Amino acid sequence: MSGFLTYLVRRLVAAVITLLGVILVMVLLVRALPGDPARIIAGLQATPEQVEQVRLSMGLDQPVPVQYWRYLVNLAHGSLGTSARFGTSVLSEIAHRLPYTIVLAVFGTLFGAIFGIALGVLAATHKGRWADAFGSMLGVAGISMPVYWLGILLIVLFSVKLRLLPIGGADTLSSLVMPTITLGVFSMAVVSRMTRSTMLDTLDQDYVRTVRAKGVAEWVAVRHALRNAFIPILTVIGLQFGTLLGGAVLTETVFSWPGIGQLLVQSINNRDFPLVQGIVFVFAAMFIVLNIITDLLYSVVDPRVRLYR
Amino acid sequence: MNIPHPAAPRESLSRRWRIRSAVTLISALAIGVTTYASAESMPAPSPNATLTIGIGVDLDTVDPAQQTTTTVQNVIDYGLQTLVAFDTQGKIEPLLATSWATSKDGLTLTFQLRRGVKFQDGTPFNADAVVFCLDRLISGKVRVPIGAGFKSMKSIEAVNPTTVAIHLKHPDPNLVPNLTTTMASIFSPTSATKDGNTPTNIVHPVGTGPYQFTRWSKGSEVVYTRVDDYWGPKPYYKTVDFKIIPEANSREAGLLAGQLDVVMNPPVTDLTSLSSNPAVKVLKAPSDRAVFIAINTAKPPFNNEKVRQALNYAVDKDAIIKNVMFDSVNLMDSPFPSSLSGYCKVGAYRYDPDKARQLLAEAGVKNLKITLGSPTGRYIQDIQFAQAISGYLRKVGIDADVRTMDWPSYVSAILNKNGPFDLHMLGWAPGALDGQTQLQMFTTDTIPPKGLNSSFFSDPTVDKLASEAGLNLDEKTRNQQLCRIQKEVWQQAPWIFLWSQTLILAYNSKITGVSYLPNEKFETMGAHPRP
Amino acid sequence: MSERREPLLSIKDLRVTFRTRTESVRAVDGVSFDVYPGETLGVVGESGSGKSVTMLSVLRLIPPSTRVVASGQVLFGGKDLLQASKREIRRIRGRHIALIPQDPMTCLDPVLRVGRQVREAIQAHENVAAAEAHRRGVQLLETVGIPEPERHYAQFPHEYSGGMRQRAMIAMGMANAPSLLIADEPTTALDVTIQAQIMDVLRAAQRETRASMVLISHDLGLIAEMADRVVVMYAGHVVESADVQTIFSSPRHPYTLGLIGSLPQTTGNEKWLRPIPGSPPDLADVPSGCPFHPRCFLSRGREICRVTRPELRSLGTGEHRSACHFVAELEGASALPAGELHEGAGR
Repeated sequence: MSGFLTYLVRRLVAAVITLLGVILVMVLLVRALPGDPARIIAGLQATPEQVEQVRLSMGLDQPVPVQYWRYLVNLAHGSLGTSARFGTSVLSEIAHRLPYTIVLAVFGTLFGAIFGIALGVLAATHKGRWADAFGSMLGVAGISMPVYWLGILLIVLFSVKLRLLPIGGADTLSSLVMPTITLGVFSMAVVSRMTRSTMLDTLDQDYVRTVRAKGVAEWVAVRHALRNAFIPILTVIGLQFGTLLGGAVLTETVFSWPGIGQLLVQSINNRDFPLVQGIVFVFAAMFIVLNIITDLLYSVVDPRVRLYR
Repeated sequence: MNIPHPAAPRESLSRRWRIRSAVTLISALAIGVTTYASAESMPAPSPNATLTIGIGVDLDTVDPAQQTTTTVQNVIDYGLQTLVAFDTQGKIEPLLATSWATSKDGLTLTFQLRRGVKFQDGTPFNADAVVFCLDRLISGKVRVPIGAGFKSMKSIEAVNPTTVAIHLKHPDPNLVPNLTTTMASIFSPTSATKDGNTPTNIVHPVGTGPYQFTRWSKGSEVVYTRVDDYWGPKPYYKTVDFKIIPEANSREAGLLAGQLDVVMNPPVTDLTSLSSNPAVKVLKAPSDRAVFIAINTAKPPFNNEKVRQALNYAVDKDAIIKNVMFDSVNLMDSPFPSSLSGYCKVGAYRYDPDKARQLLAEAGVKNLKITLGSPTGRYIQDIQFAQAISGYLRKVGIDADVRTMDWPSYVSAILNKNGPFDLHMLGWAPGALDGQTQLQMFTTDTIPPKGLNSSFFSDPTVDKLASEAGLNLDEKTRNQQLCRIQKEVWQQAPWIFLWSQTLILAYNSKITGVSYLPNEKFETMGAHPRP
Repeated sequence: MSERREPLLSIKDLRVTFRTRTESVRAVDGVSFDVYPGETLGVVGESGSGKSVTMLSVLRLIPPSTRVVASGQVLFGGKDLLQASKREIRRIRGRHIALIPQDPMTCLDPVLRVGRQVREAIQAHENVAAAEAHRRGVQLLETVGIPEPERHYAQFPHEYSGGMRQRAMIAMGMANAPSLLIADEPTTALDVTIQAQIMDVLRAAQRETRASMVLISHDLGLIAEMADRVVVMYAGHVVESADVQTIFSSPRHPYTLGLIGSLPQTTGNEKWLRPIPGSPPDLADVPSGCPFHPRCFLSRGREICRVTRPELRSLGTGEHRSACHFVAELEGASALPAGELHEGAGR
């Protein structure tokens, strides 16, 4: 057990260092954007004095290293600062919206993973036949369909014409259906391609032949192949989840889903530095945790993987 | 809120009627009559009906003083009221004040307050409350981004529980119109320390309006519930649910799917199909938002008036309005939109490319290559009509390259005299419907960074007239001064004058009584199901 | 040895062709032989001779991703396995005919415990409760000589040595007491010192179950030790078949002669290594006529060798068959000149 703990501690230390780096890059990048943040926050009609007031209150008059240091100090106290635009704590703004994005990302990834693996297995076990072509077609379609277009299309079909689903919002469980499909379709395409190619590889392996030689049903052999194909597939799924977390903005906009993607875009447009930094920080932290979890999952799926002694 | 109250005495400001153009008067009367009529035939308040309204932006703050966005103001107006208010035609009506008068020297404005009104928390509406709220606008302790209109207030005094006196630094004919804006809403001072509120930041406004702020799910919806003992006529709908739907196509879908009753600003490209859909009614509410192309008058050759006029002749505005804007806007015939006080119709720059070329030749302009700046998605069809304008300019020999960027960068660029744009698009709405605020676009002392005169236009005559009008309490002579300014500005053309936007409302035809205010706000106090 | 018994397995004119877009690879081109109950049949040949493909085809285990065309008959238990339904084949695999595959390194599923995989072999054909299957599995591991069977049952393949893995494969093959074991190169991937042990295990397994065994190998010494009869394959054809004594003492095919002659021999202090000149043909482009003719010392360029494929013909005594036009010229030959054959030579 102590091996495990040491491993975890090592990963967490690495995570902290990474996050410090992320914050630094972010602080620099955000301040490199054109436009005067104080003026945007203060409003177009603000007087120069008001703009200066805002500048002071945001700490923008200080040199950048000082701003970076102040941010870290705040962080150490558990605070992500105050939103320049809303006046509320960044942490509370994020806490309000982040769960929605996470839910959407989870469901989208699950949709993509389940259907992607199913399609990929179908294509691999029927290589060269119509099921394979069908799977490929769906894959290409999934990757090419613009999220925005697909979203509106689904709304027109299911909300306007069929009157089955709500056009947006996050009130009921049925509100989750269309955004999940919209997000999940791309994910599904990626996962299915990876599954297909990995499965084609594993289905050819000697141990699968051995399994068949035992006289088991074909699906048992496929299951063996799938279990072995799982590591690269798991990697892709993990990456997809990360992408969905960060890239759900369009979907959230089309479906009025109150997630954090929208908030991020708005806060960049508002030059609301504390909020931007807070969101990016939270995202970075989530990615790192996701990475660690994926690595741990590897060792569960493949007993040959030894993360720690 | 702004329900006409027939019982209240009209004020001397009734002279405003005569200034309106005949067309506006007739349409205003028509709308006024129907609103009045439907208010009369309104059914009894429903115990549970909900009106669902689809809006395009989320609230940023619910503190009245900190407001910047019209739509957000629109929402919190449901629960908050001001001393005075606009009606549909832009006429100022009493609301929480029953009458007002200005002292002879113009330095004191006294309001008589309505009696028997209570805030939604039960505390009485009185002079102390007015003092508390108006003082926030000038105390410097609260951030008031749009506070320029209140600068003339020196102090506010509660003479007695039903009388308030505002002491001014100088005479200001525009203070009363500015007091109609949401920033000047009166809320309960007692509430300023409860429910998460602080005196410098309100998160739960408690006002005197017919609805009260019930719930705000950030990014999702804002819910208002009818007040049982409201002092005026009670609206039909028990609940008003503002759904936050940033995507115009999704809003339209919500209306067509029957999930939204009213939506604002559906996609302009669908106006034709919506108008011919019997299940939907479309209302194009004229607004005070002028959209124009500002010309950088500090950069040659645009310091030459002929060149600027040439630009105005070169663009076929009617064609653009019809084909690119789908008739959703109203052509400007003055630097002021027609809903502003002091508006006078000046003229027209008819589409005349030959005249444009002639003027350019007279100014000695050849092979002009310029940059036209435009935001994307900020104004209706912005980048689209920027392209159209560039096309027209090319026809008269001007190579105009359209460039866009994100809003904050864009703002920085246009406020810089040596910025990247020779021409740039901008929209501007005074909100208080006062011509004075519009003048900020044309005076020398509002040139950036001091103000928003982004065409860097400077003319001593205009400056003189503007400062005189700013202190002139006599409406008639003031309007004459404003008219002269409009003529002068029109002549010197610091802008390619385009149009004023409309606020487009689409709603379920089963509902009637959906109305608007001329400063880009919708209004549903008189809404109810069609009998 | 020459009693007329019913063969357990009868392969008749088996042809297996792999079709790619550009070429046809004739991996097995008209192979016929029988396997009798209780005997060990050795199938000998170089890599690419078609020996593995032949036996894999019996169980229809050629990977489904390849375009495979098979013709001929494979008779077992009164049925033609090539025509049998998927379900029938599954009933035969692992139960009546078991495969002990070639490479123990890659033949076990790396992500599952070995015991689980043994259990799978047991439960594939019999409705056995998990606990009972576990018990039997441990016992099987013990039978093949794996020490501490209970502990090893729960381990993963990567925790086993090569020899242990091969033992586990044998255990899985034996799990249902099949009547025919196919051992494909069982010692090739193993250390020389382990080879002997594995062969002991195989022998014991066969003795216990009284199964027939088809032993595929290119190791002539192994064949000499274990087989009762031998079939020699070249380029997808059977070129000679006989009982093991005869094959080694009086081979009657130039290829067989060459094979045996290429065994390292020690005469006195000399060690001879005489490889057959040339290399096996590309199976997509097999020579016309007799496939061995380009490398054959007997052919001497004669036309019939180039044109007509020789049939597998009985040489008088019935069980000894050879496919050579000039087999008569080999009368009396024991091996290549300047070589000697000892009983069990090659070890």
